[in-house]
Amino acid sequence: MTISNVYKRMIQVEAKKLTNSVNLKIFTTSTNLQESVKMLEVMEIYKKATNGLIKTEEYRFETNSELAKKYNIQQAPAILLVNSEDDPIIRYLAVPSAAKIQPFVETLKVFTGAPNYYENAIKEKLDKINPSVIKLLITDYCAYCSTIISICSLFTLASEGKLQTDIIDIMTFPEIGEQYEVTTVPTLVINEDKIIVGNVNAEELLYEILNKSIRIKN
Amino acid sequence: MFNIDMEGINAEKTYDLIVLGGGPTAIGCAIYAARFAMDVLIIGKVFGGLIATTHVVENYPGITSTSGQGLMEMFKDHLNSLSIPYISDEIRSIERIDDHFVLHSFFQKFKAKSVVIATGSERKKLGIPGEEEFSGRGVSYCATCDGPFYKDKRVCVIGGSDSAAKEALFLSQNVKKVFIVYRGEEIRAEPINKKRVEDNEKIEIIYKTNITEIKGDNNVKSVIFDNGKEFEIDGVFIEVGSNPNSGLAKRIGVKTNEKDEIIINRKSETNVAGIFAAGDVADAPFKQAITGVAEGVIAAYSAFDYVKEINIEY
Repeated sequence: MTISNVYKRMIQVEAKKLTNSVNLKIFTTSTNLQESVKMLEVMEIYKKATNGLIKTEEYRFETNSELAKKYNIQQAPAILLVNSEDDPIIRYLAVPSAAKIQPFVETLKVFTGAPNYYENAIKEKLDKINPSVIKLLITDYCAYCSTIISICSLFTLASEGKLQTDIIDIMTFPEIGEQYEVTTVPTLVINEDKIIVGNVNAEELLYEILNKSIRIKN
Repeated sequence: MFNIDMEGINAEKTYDLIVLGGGPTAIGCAIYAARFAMDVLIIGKVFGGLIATTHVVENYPGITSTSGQGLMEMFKDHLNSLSIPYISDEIRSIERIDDHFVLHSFFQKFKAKSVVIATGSERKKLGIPGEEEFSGRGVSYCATCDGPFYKDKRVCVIGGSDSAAKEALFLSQNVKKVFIVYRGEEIRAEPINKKRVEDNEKIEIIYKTNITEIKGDNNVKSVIFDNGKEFEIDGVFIEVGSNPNSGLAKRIGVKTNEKDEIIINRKSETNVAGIFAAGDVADAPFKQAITGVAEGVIAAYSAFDYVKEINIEY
């Protein structure tokens, strides 16, 4: 088992909060076998802890290239949450362990019908929100990352398809961290244009996706 | 129940107590409030507060050694066991209406009979040229978050406190060399950490020195000392103390001292009836997680007394 008992227990505690079933698509790859195996092992823990409420469809990246292209998957392992139109709305290029456990389960809960704290605010401003892809670059040891994962995910779920969030663990995908020259986490990249460095709250993120000025903060 | 989960949160009801803050003080306060059978809600900007960024906690009774995040996971479990709701949000204003307070965030409003402000503190900035420009590109305020990006590099820690010493010790696990740059003649770390720093071959202390500028191109390349010397470095970790997050308190008429700390008495009462304060945001001279928890507990008890009284009156 590659996941510690502490995280295993955390998954078991959090996953019990899920009450409705959800389907996830998982892409694995032989070129990152260790992380792919870890992702499948971790997802098995989630599936057991939810008594099967979490269901997964597993695809090998190398033998499902058309499907990977459709979902714009360029790296694996990855977990996809797709909407009713079969469009990916939240992608985890990260094993949902450690600081990602709680926001991962929270996202699944809201996706399957639990109330979304930001829904009213996002829907009110939906006309002003530009379609955006938010890349959230994180690590497991970042104290602020759990909160920002939740905020981005819940904004995305309330945005009626206008937002898409990619949660990327740059320890698993160091080449993505290097691409954006990340030396601080969390780092947010919005539409490959705006880069927001450091802890950001929901109000500030809303401001950014309403297409306001570029800003670097910490 | 954590972060922005709506479970257990009811914007329509009037809570007995809303605790503002996400660190040990707020959590200690809420645990006691729940045990006093109060309807309690915690609203914090970031769960864990500043201590969550500490790589090692060795002075919390009953826990020999854990990380800041590890301690927070234990606190989270404790809150879960008592079904205490927590929400990540920031209260912008508080108004008193009749016998209760209305707390407004950008996204929601909440009602409470009493409020404990445990909003802690945030790290000070140096305020020198290059600091803002290279923030996130070599300038950092969190060694545990960003230290691993500096494997085999040369970094400096600015400051001479116990926190600065601990940051340097953490960084030394990965980097090639750590320089503690301190304006004083002797670092003020706890003796145990001071000795660890002195015994660590990767750490060097540069005394009686200030940094006047941070320079680089795309990333930090060097710092300028106040003697004019340019010193090559790959990362600058700033640990020069913190400022209390008392802005909200001041806006609602809560009295603060010259350091912007909220003035409280031994019952954690402020000058505003029904508003209490505790932890790093308050005016205690020695600020630790454990002392914050103790003040939070006192605030919970005082809030319990206060709510009991107004419940009788109304």
